Formats: sequence, structure tokens, C-alpha cells
Amino acid sequence: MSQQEKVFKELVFRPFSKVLIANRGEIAVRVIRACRDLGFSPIAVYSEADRDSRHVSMADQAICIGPAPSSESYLQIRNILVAAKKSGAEAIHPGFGFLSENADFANAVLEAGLVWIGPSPQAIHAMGDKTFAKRAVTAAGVPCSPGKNEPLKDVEDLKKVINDIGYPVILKAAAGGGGRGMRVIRKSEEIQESFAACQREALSYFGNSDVFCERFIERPRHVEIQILADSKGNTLHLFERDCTIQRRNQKLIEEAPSSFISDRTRAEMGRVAVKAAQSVGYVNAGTCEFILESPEKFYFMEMNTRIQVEHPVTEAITGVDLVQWQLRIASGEEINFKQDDIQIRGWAMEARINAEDPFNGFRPSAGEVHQLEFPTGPGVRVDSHLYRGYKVPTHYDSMVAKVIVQGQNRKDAMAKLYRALGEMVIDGLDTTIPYHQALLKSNAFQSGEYTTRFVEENETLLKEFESHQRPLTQEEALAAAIHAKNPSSHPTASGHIHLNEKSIGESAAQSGKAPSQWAVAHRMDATRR
Amino acid sequence: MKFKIQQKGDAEPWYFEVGDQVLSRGLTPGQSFIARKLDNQLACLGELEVRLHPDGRSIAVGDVIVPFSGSSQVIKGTDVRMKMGAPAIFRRIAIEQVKPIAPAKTTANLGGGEQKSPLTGKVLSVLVTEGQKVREGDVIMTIEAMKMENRILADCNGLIQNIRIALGANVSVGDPLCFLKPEEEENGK
Repeated sequence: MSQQEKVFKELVFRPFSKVLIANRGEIAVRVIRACRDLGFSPIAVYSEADRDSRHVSMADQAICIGPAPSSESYLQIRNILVAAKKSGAEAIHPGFGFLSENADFANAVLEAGLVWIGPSPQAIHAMGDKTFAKRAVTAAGVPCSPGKNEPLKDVEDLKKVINDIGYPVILKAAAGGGGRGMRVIRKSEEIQESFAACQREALSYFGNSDVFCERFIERPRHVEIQILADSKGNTLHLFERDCTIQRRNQKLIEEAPSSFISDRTRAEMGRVAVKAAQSVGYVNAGTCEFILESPEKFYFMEMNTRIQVEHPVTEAITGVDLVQWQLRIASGEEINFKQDDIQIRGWAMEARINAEDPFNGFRPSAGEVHQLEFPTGPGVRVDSHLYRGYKVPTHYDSMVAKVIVQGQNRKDAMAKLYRALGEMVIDGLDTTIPYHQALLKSNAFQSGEYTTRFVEENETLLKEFESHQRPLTQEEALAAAIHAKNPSSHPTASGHIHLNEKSIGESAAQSGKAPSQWAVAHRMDATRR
Repeated sequence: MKFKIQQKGDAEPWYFEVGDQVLSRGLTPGQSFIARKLDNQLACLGELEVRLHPDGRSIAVGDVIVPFSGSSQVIKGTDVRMKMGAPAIFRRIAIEQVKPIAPAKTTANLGGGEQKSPLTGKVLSVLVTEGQKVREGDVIMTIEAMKMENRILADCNGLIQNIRIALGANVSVGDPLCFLKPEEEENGK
């Protein structure tokens, strides 16, 4: 049990009509849409840097909660509660990131007499402490990676655990998540330094220096199970999502179902995830993350006590609107379908589009969106907060869109995603679209044979993709020259980059405007290397 | 205007000529014009009819459609990256106006010089000191932006001078970070 027992409020379930969304960007837009679908009135909050954000313009009311840094706005519990009171909100949806997995926030919302759209503060707290979570789910019969499910006391303690389970091991922050503050130890010389460093990072990132240790699985798959539980005692799973394709622990492409596991493992993982959720009395949507050593051998890693970025792939294959159900469950409704009613239909994939330049080490690229065109057509969904003219702020996460496709099978889903990414136009920002395209054409991805190390082990993926392109035809060569040289192919004359330095100067002079910051950044980029 | 067009990695370039008046003012959507295909001695090989589709997303050359998704982007010198084809992918193409002026050798194309911040963020670490020798690709400093740590690398071999920022400082795009004196220059060229 944790050192001090906190006393948390119990969840309340009652109907509401005004929902405050304590988030921004794409997920705020997603939740607002669910509110509209159910006839609820959405209320937005925003930082000073987000006044012009899409989620603000889609809401019925919008309230400023502080300056640009998230620590002074989106992470300010007080400001959000003041906004809720001012606007007359009856319920709060936290989205993902920010305060979504903060038990104190959930508790404060309940103490303010509002409905919290999420699991109980107690469940968030239990799952947030990784060592506590591992103990709780182990007791419920859920397999965990070998290690010590309690915070390590000192280096000696760590050495003892390593003696038992062998190298390599991974040190993790007990209060951690999102891949931060983790360290792999492969030999005894690393123990001392890694332990100290991990404690230090745990303290600075999560405000708690507790670390624990488990066996490190070198080349795992990452598969997670979506859970939905209501206040009437129904806990269901909605099958898995395979999120193995990651870069620095940030997921890039997610798909459902997973091509890695058998129907038997799928059923077993679903059953185990339901047990894990029940072990902490979980209500609302949540996700159990597992790592897989082989197609049959899976270990519980953690439970995310919120909606996830990649939830749309599950919505696609099951037909269940997860965010609507979050709202319905919080209002006290009972889930009106049974486990056996949920079937996997087809194959879904999601590509996260980040404002990063994959040709330059995924460097963040903030700027103004000059041209925007989202793909459409059969099986394509785009969730995004972008609009033409929107200036992407630098203060927050770089994800600007998610492209979700559904096909009849994995091959069809890959083809549809490739097609959709080809149609997608986001001018003014560098995005990860080219990286996704290269990934979709790689043999490893197509064959389904890869691990979480795929991205780091294939650093030249994009280069190889470029070098394997067929030669230009004469028509393409001519069209390319005209497209690049023609000012009217670039609808935003002001500040847009043209072919050479001279024409940049000319076009800026013609329009009488200085080139945008973005153009300046790119020009600098062009001269850097 | 005569152009040499070559995709990175392609064996042979293409040569075309387009009337000056066509590109100087910008094409009207739907406008057609004639371009001339040239050989590598710039002699005319034939004519092609070109039409810019009014949706701004493709150019027809004869009856062949070449789609584009978005504008072209300068990468370096004459190299641009554009998203084209169906499904459209990013291609890196050098488009040169023929009759080039030889570029003078400057600090800019040698590498080095004033190292400016490529992004807006906070300086997480400064890994060099003034007077330190660095090699191309060495990490000079790291800058945090959008929750990510970005490494600033040395452009070329050289000497670090005049460090302009301190640990924890907030920098904007284009802010000077330090000066990197290229090795060649250091050796008196």
C-alpha cells in the first residue's frame, strides 16, 4: 500500500448538459464533437496562446485560463474550476495529457460538485503508481514482467533484484509514464549511475523519486487493450491496438487488430485486461498496455486511465463511439451491449501527423498553415484542429492531425492510408507525412515483422524510400519546373518560399510583406547544411 | 527560361524551355501554353502543350496528368522538395535555370559561421566552450521545444567562438547561438 492513504471522493453519476473540456487542440475538438452528437453544450478553455485555436471556435463558451505555458494554464486546477463555475459547467472531460491522469484534479472536480468524466480518483491514483498497479493486477492474476513491484530502497536493493532476474533490467519511475525517465541497465558498472540518474529524473519529471525495476525485454511488441466499464458493474474490452511503431516512446502508427497475436491470445489478453480494470474498480474508458515477448507471451505494463490518442482505430473496427460512451457512462447510463456483441470488422490504422521535419531529425516545425486539404473518400477519417491560416504555437505537443483509415483487411488499410496521406495537403509546416509514407512502403511494416525498436533500427528509412523512387518522366520533370517556378501555384504569395533566394525577395517585395517566420526558418534551414 | 531538371539519384537530367512571359507573372488557372523539350546541348527536340488545372492540384502535359499536393519547398540551393504523383509522394528535385552564375565560395557554403537557432525553445545544455575544436556532426548544444530535446550539431569541423546564450535561456528562431569558425578558414584556406 502507498505510504500515506489518501482519502478520495467517490464518483457521482448524474445527467448533465454542459461539459467543460479541460484540454486543447485535436482532442478538445474530438470531445466537442461527441458533445454535439449527444446534444450537450461544450465549453472550451484556452491559454493566451490558444485564443485562435479551433477548439475555441467550436464551443458554445470559451474561457481563458492563463498564459501560454501549460504549467500556468492547462495544468492549473484552480483556474479550470473557476472557469467551470463561471460558465455553469456541470461536468468536466479532461481529454488526454495535461491533467487527465491527475487524481487530485479528478478529486477537486468531484469536490466542486461536478461530474468527472473518467475513472475515480482512487483508480487513477492506484494505476498512476506503477508499483502499486503491478501489485494490484498481479493479485488479480494478471501477468507482469519479472521484477520487484515495490519502490527500490537503495542500490543494494537493486543489485539483489538483478541477482534474481538477471540482465538486462529497466529502471522506471513509479509515478512515471509516457516513456520518460526510464533507464536500461546491461552490466554491473552501470548500476550506481543509472539508479541515481533515474531517481533524479523521476523527481524532476514526476515529483516523486521512487523507482522500480523489472526485466527489460529487448525487442518487444506493444499491444494494448481498450476497456469500457460503466457504473452498473459491466466491464468490457474492445479488443486490441498494436502500437509497436514508436519513436522515442512516442507512437507513430497504431492499428487494430494486431497482426502479431492469435485469436486465442487476443481473447486471453482481453480477459486479463478486464480483470486488471476490475482489480481497481475501474469505471469509464481506459487502456491496459502490454508488452509482448512473443505472440503468446504478454506482460502487463500499465493502465492508462483516460481516453487515448489512438482510440479512433478501435472505434473504426468496433463501431463503438468511445468518447460518446465516456460521456454517457459519466451521466450514469448503462452500456447497452454485451461483450459478445463486439466484433472486429475489417482493419483500421492511424497515422499521427506531427509538425516535425522528418528529413531533419524530426525537428519541431511551428508556423502558419497556408494551404490545407484533408483526405476524404471511403474509410478515411481525419481528426484535427488545423484550419487554413492557423498558427501552430510552440508551447504544446506537436501533433496536429490524425489520419485514420478502415479497410477490409490489413493490406487494404495500408493502401487506403497511403492514398489518404498522398491526398493530404498541409502547407506551411513540415509534417511527418513523408515518414509515414516511407514506413508504409517498407518491407518490414508490410510483412508485420517489426518490434518497438523498428524506427531506431531503420534510421535511413526515409532516405532509402527517396532513393528507390522511379526516375522522373519527361512530363513530371516539366510539370515540376513549372509548379516550382509558377507564383500562382503558391496561393499564398506572402512569405511562401519560391525556388531561389532571388525569387523569395521578389515575391516578398511584390506583396509588400516581410516573409513569414516560417519561411525565414526554412531559408535558414536551407543554408545550414 | 531554360531549365535543367533532375531528381536526386536519377542518371540523366531533363531540359526544357518555357517562355519568360509565362512564368514571370504567374499562370492563370486553366491557361495553356507551349513548352519546348531540349537536349543536353539545349537544342530543341519538340514541343509539348501544358495546362495548369484550375483546382491548382495538377498540371497536364499533353494528355498526361501530373498531380501535386501542396507547394514546393526549397531545401538547399536549387533543390526543392515537392509532393507529386498519385498517390503523391515527396520527391527531391534540383531545378536549375541554365546559364548559371558560378557561386562564390563563402562561409555560407563552406559551413560554419554564425550558428543560429533553428527553432524556438529553451536551451537545455551547452556542450562546448569557447575555443573548443569540434568536428562536423558534434553536438554543440540542446534546445527543448514542444517537449522534445533537439540537438544542434556542428556544420563542419572548426573552432567554437563567441557563445551568445546561456543554459536555460529562451531562444527564438534565428537567434545567434555561437560562432563556428570553419577549419579550412582557420588554416588560412
